[in-house]
Amino acid sequence: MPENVPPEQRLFTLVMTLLASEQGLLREQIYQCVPGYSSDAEPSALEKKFERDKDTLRSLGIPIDVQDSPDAPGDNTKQRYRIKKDEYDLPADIEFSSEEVSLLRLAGSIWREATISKAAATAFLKLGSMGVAVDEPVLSSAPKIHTREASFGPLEEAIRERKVVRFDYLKPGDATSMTRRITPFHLGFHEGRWHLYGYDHVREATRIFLLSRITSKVQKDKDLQPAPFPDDAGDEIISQLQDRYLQNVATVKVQSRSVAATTLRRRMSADEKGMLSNGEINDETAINVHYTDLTAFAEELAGFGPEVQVLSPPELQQAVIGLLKIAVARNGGAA
Amino acid sequence: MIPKDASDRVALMLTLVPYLLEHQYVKVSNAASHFGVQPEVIRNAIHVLLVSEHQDLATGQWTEDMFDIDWDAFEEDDEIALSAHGKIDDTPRFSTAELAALLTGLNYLASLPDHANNVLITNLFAKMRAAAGGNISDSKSIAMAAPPQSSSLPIARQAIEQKQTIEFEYVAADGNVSTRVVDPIKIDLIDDVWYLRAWCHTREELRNFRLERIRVAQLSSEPRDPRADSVQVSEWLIDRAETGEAVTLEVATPGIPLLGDFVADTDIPKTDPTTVTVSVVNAHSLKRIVTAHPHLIRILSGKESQRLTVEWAKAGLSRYE
Repeated sequence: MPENVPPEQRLFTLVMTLLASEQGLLREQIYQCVPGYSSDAEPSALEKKFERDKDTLRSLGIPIDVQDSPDAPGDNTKQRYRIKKDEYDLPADIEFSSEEVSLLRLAGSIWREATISKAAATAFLKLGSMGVAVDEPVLSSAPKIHTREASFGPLEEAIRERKVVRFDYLKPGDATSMTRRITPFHLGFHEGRWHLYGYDHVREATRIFLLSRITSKVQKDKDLQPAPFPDDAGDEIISQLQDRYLQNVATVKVQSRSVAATTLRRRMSADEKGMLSNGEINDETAINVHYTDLTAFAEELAGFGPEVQVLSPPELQQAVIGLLKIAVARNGGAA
Repeated sequence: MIPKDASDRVALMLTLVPYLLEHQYVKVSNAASHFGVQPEVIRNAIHVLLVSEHQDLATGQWTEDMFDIDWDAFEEDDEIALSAHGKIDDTPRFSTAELAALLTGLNYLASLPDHANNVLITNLFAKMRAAAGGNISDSKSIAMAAPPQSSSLPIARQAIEQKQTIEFEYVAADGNVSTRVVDPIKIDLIDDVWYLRAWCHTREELRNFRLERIRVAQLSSEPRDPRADSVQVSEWLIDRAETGEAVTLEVATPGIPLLGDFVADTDIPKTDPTTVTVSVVNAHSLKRIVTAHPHLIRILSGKESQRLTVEWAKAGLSRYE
C-alpha cells in the first residue's frame, strides 16, 4: 500500500479510475483501488474525504455520475460512481484560434477576487490544454471588476446550483438586520455596485438586494423548495435598476466647475443639459439628476461636501445632512 | 498562475496530459510558459503522474503503467515525451463556474467602446455555447450594466494610439481647476470609473486622471514628451513608494472596498471593524471618501486628514443653515 499520497495524486487517480470503469464502482471498490483512501482510516473520515473529493472534481467541471442500485435506491453503499467520457470531454470539433483564446483570457482576467478569478484560472488551464499558442495577451488593458463582498461567491454558486439561501439583510432606515430566505436568480452590477435579484419566500415576491447590505454569512436553506427560475433574470435585474434610475429624480444646486459638477453631469437627461446656459452647470440654477438608490446616492452627495445642496426630495436632503453630521462627530469635530 | 491547493494542482494535471500527448518532446520551460506556471510546477506534476497507480480489481495487481515517459529526454534534456494507456486524452469541458467567469467577462468586454462591433466576440459566444454543452443556462448567473460613457474617452484613446498630446481643464480632488497638457499612455476601467494614466507636462511625471473630472479635452499643439513612452505604468493607481501623512483609520468591513487603492487587500486584518494605517498623499481624496461613508470609516489619527474632513463636512452642513 503506497503511503503519503499527495491529494492531487488521489484526485487524479480517482478521475482515471472512474473514467476507466464501464459499469461504475462502489465506494468500497474506490477506496480499495485508489491510493490515498487509506483503509485504516476511520470510516466516517473516509466518507468525508470522498465527499470532498467529489465536490472538488465537480467544481472543476468533471461530471461524476451516480447510479442507485435497483434493489436499494438511496443506499449510498450500493451506489455506483463513474465518469462518462462523452460528458467529460470538451465537445469534439471545438477549436479556438489564438485571437479567440487571447480574448477569452482578457474576458476572464477582469475578475479581481478569489472565488470567481479561481474559476477563470482553471478555465485558462483548459484553454492551454487545447494547445493553441497565444501571443502575450494584452492583459494590461483588461477592465478590473471587484467583487469584494463576502456574499458574492456563495450567492453566485447558489444561483448556478439553483439553491435557496438565507442571510441577514440591513434595510436602510432599519435599526437591525432581518433574516431573508431567498431563491437567488441573478447578480447584477450597476453603477459600480453589486445587487442580487431573487425571490423572497417570506414576502412572496421578487426583490433586489444590495450585496453591501448583507450582514451575515450566506447559508444554504435546505427547508425550502427553490422558486421557479425566470429565463430572463439577467435582463430583468439590469432593466429594473435602470427603471428605478429613470424614475428617481433629485433637484440639487451644484457649485460650478467642481468635482460634483463634472461627476453629476452624466446623471442629467439630455433635455436637462440642453437647458443649461452655455452648457455649463452654474451655482445658481437648480438641476434635476437621476439616481437609483436613495441611500447610496445620499452617500455620493455627502462626499461632495459644500459642492452640492439638495433641494428635494426631502428624505434625500435629510439623509445627506445626517451623513455630514456623523462625519463631523466621528472625526473629532464638535457637532 | 501559482497552484495554491490540490484542486489547482489536479486541474493542471488533467489539462497538462492532453496537451503533452499532442505535443511530444516539449521543453519543460515551454510547457511552463504555455500554462503560465513555473517550470518546477510542471516537473512536480510529471512526477506525480508517473507514480500514479491503481489497483486492478480483477487481478488485485497494482498497475503502475498509466503513463510512460522518455526518461532520458526528461532527465537529460528537460524535455517531455509522454504516452498514456488511460482514457484521458481530451481536455475536460468547462464547469458552470468557469463559463460564468468567461462569458460574463466577454459580455462586459462587448459593452466597452473598444470592442464595439467586434465580430470575433459574436462568433466566440456561439463557439462557447457549443463548448459548454448542456451547461450554458446554468452558467448565466451574473449580468453587468455597461460602464458609464465618457465624452473624453474617444480623444484619449486616439491620442494613445497615435501618440498625440492633449490638453484639458481638470478638476482635482482639492477643488482646484487647472489646464493640463498631457501625453495619454493608458486607459483603465476599474469597477465603474474610467482613469487616464498620462505623462503630465506641467508636473513632469506620470499622473492619474479620472475621466469624469476632465472638462472638454482637445488635441494640443505641444510636442509629445519622449519620457511618456518609456515611463513604467504600475498596476496600482496609488504609488505606494510615495509617502504622505500616516493616517490610521477605523473601517467596518463594508467600508474596505470604498478605500480602493488606499489599502492593499493583503494589508487588511480580519476583524470588524478593523484598524489600518495608510500613507495619504492626497488628503482631499480621503476626505471625500470619509464624508460619504462616515458610519463605515473614521479617522483615528492623522491631524491634517482629520481637519480637512471635518471642515469639509461642516462646509457641507452650512449649505442647509
